[in-house]
Amino acid sequence: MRRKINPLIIAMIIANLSPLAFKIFDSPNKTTDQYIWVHYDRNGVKVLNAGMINSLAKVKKDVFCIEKE
Amino acid sequence: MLFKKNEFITQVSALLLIVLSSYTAMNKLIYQDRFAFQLQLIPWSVITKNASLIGISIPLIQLTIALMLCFGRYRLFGLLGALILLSVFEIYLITLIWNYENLPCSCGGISAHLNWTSHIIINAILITTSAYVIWRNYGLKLLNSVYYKRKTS
Repeated sequence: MRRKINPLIIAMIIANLSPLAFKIFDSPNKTTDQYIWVHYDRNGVKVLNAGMINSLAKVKKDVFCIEKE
Repeated sequence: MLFKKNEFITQVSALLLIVLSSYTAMNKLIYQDRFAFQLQLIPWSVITKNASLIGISIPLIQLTIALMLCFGRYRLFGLLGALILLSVFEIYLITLIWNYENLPCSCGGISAHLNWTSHIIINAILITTSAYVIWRNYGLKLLNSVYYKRKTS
């Protein structure tokens, strides 16, 4: 007898794999762009323009530098 | 007929919560360092100090909830977990937006393109849906069992 597969599990697997698929197919040349962002403080002033960041260690270093200023 | 309609609503709600939880959890895990960094920008010391731990535990909780929602036996726990997580997130969002401006969005994927008001509205819809499903499927059963127990004793 064939066992019925739970459609919710299939939905979960697809939902799990879709971010991976987007990462692979959507931005093959934009891997470093993923880590560019700008943060604004409560007055709308730009406090962090981090540039290209590839690891959390670098991010922490940048934040520390800004805090020191 | 009523059972079928109920079952349909439960399945659709479970599907919605599974897709949302799995998708956002995987996004957070893939871009883990970015998520942890964005948590560090939140102006609450409890969150900033434990950003790495929270950055890992939230997606893992979301994946566990999604997995529990897949199976009928654990669906109530999954729904309760989703309801609690969404409610905490909703309170957190409203508190932050109430007190601060230009906050960093730590959402992943498509949800990162939503503004704060849309986030709150979608969250509220999901909270209402999960609460309704819990009440409809489990709350009435619980009330019925209590009522019949009293009647027989």
